[in-house]
Amino acid sequence: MSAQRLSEWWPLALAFVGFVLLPALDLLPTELLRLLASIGTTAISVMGLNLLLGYTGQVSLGQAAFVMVGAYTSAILARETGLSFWLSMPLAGLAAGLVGLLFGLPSLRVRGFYLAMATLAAQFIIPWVIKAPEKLATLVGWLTLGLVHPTWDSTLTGGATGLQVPAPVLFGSTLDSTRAEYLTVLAVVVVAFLFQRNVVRTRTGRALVAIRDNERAAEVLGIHPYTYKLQAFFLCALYAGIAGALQAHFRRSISPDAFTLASSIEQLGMLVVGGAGYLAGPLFGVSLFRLMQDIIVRVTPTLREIVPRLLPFVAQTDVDTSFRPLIFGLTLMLFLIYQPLGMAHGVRQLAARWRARVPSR
Amino acid sequence: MSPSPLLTVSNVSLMFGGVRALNDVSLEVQPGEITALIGPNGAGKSSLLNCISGLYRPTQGSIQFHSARGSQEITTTPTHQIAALGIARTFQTPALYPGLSTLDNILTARHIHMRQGLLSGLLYVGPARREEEAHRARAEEILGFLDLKHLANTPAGALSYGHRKQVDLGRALALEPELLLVDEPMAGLHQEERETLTRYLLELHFGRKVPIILVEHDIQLVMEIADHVVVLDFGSKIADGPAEEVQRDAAVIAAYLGEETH
Repeated sequence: MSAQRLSEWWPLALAFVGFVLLPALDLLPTELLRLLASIGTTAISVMGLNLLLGYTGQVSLGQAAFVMVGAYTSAILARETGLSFWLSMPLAGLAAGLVGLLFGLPSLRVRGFYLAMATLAAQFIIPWVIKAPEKLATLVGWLTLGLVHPTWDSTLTGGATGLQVPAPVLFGSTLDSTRAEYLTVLAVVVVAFLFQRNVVRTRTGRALVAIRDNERAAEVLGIHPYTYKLQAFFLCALYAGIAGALQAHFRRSISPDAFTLASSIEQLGMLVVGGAGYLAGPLFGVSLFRLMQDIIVRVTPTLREIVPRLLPFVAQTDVDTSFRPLIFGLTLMLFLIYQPLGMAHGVRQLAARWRARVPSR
Repeated sequence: MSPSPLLTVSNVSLMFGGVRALNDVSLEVQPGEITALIGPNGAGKSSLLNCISGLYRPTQGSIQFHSARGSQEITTTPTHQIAALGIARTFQTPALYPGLSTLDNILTARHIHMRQGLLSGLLYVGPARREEEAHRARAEEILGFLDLKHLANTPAGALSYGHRKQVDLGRALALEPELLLVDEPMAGLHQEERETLTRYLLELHFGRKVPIILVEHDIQLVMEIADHVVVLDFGSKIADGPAEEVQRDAAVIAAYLGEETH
């Protein structure tokens, strides 16, 4: 019994030492912590996408726009009202969740490719509103027949240039070190992961998967697809909003051009490669992509010297611009062909094979 | 007929474009009975089942459900609310959720009996955990009834066809239906599986007094277990009565077995 308990607990203990103790004691290089914090922040958003695509079977091409809503909500709350980051972060999640709900409405009528096109709207409308909030103010005034007249203008959102964002403060100390960023992100990742797991294994999660696997059979058992699809969109955008708030307060500046369609698509790619519909999928996928990016950044200077000499038709600037998308595209393609269910599925298969091989005591 | 039916189908017609799938069909289902719906392919049996479970909307006519909680017209009630009223069904081709385990497939049908929402699910403390555990126990009971306990953690997508049909039935049972619609339970099963499934249906009927509407091609089975038989042909009802009576009906013989040639 105790031996079994020990074998269950040692990976957790090891993870605690590696991910909490060593960084807390400042024994890991800053560069590594920065990489891990970036993985964690993106993974939170991709976890949201996992609940939507992986568990509910609904597509969204607007995840970066929901991250943007979170980032700007938290930044504006902190700048305008001086609200603590620890309150503005959940509020940012909530705001993004509600916006996500709105853009999830098309899922009640359309699915698949058409839904993807409908959610694409978020990716165009949200940056447009943030760059020119006075237009939204006019619209609100107009819709409420002049009863409400918001005085929003581009000083609120910083227009096309963006905003400077204050660093979070905890018990009087400003969290502006990479270590503080890493530990904060880690805490949020752990909570986000546990929430994801809880949702998936309870009533709501089963309803989501039922809708994904067989919508008609879900209805026949009393599950209302509309309710749960909207909940999935809400959760998905909520996670995005939390990730946005983290990004804003630790990167310390945000600009409307950072939340692109390409980023939305990249997050989808990370999810598919990591394993959509697996709890660990987002962590696997984001880690792989971020590590590859890190390696690519390191080898590009060498390649831009070598490649043009070997292949005279390639210019140095081509290497800078095309190497990264080329590698990412290839990775995605190879996964879709050889491991379409993603890394998490592969790991699970390996684990099952390993357990089958080792004779039980 | 008997004064208090469980389900009343009145003059239901169903059109698909110009095709009339159901033509002025009326029938009553009595509590505690097995009502069999038989007829040749394309007679409209599954269409009628789909109308009752809310997957199709009748073009004309009405369907009334008289549950313990009162009578209600369900002709245009949304599908998920019909389920919540206590009408469960199985599918001809089992429509399980392949990504969920067998146990979770059954648990999904406890949906209407559970109350926990998104927030309590996220936190999964106190009441949420207790509710989850209570319903898990119920689901395991149903797996026990179907002798499927050993498959509890197997993904439904990996089950054999016969097991999938059993889980489909188990899922409908987990809803604790007041009326159970069973669409061709024997289709595609071999003899041994048929016998097993028949045993479960009879146990349900005699043990738990679950009223059943059974769509089935196996005439012999129907005549053995059904209290009441309704025969459809080309969307119209051609016979309705106790099994022995219907069996002798000339119109049924003509529709079902072909005109006698001598």
